[in-house]
Amino acid sequence: MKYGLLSITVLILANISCTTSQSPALRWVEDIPFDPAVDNPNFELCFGEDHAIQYYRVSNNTGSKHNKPKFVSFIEEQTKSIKFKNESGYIRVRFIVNCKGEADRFRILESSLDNKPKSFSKQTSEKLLKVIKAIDKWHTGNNMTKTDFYLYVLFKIVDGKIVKILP
Amino acid sequence: MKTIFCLLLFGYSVCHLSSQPNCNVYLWEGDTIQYEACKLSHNFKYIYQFETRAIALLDSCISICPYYAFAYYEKAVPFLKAGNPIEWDKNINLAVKYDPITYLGTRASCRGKFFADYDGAIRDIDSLSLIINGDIGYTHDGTYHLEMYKGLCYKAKGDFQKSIEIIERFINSHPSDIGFYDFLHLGVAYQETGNHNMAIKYFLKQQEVNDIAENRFYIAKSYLHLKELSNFHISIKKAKEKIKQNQKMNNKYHVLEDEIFEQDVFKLQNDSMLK
Repeated sequence: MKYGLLSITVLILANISCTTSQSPALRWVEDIPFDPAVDNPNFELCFGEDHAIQYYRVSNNTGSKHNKPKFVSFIEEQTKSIKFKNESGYIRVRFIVNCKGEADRFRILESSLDNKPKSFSKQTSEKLLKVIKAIDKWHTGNNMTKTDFYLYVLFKIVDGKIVKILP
Repeated sequence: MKTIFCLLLFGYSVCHLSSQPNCNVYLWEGDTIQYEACKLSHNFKYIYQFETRAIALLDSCISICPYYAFAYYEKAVPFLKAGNPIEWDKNINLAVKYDPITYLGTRASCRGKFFADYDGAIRDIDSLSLIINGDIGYTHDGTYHLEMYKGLCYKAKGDFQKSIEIIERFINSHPSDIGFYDFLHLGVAYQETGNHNMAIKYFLKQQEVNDIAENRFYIAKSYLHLKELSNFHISIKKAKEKIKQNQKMNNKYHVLEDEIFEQDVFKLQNDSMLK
């Protein structure tokens, strides 16, 4: 009897452990689930997790594409005093913009110029992330197309210089 | 009416370019494994490409036929659209490995457009030219002929002279393949070399083919340089009007080469007042 109860307890605990250690299956590839360790708990999606779409499905002029020259000037201005190390590769900052134009859940992906995983110096990626986070309002398209969406900014860096900002 | 017909035809062509393979081709070739993978991949059209179950379906196709290029290509696409160079590259490289004729051109133009990898794009176009006898085809979205796109890559790299050579050779040898923006890019390349008369010649040609804000803006720039102020003012006014009417370059994924914004027009106007 004692061993029976013990076995049941162990099974229940094992089940709880399995349930909590599994991360929920993603709806889409490249979705960004909320991470309490790094994300703002007050950031809200207007229409819920299941309705956030990709930036290009909102309208033709969302995010950085709305006014690219202004966006590029802003990035250049913000990064001109930054001394990047002599590194090359891509740094992608991907995040979610809600229907009010607020952004959060920033994630960084780094690669070499031949598209292999690599790590930039923390100083480089963190500074770029800080610049993107400093944008407090993103363009969300017109009133008819207000929605939550995923957006990214890709920096192409060659020998410590940003040579291209995409998309 | 003619324009609508052309747009419909263009739309159909783009859809056709990205359509699924005809599975019977594999059957006729006696490749039953690829035929089975292909049949399964037909279910892909009912699922949104970003969905994890779409990726799972493509993985099932690959487990049936590890050399089924279409599945790798489709796996690459959502990562391309999300700006993920690592996952895109891993998958598109396998698509190219197993079917270079179909996917080298696609990889070329996507490398250029999505990752500003112009050297990679040029390498792919050159490789494709080596394995194809005849026409090498168009970019992934059908906007440019690949020979034209190669010239555009040299222009993006800042090698304007080489860009001009390639684009002019293309225009002379493929007069029926000239695209919506080809004369515009050639004009801008000439403008960059300081040859404003040739630049104007091509902006005027662009005006005949597809009169958009960009060719009016860049021609205004050349007129300003040549101190033809009357033409400058007419062109800049027209550029503004066309931006307001949204008669400009536009692409849902990216800002295009030589695309302009209202801010560019205002800046050029301000510059003209300072001169």
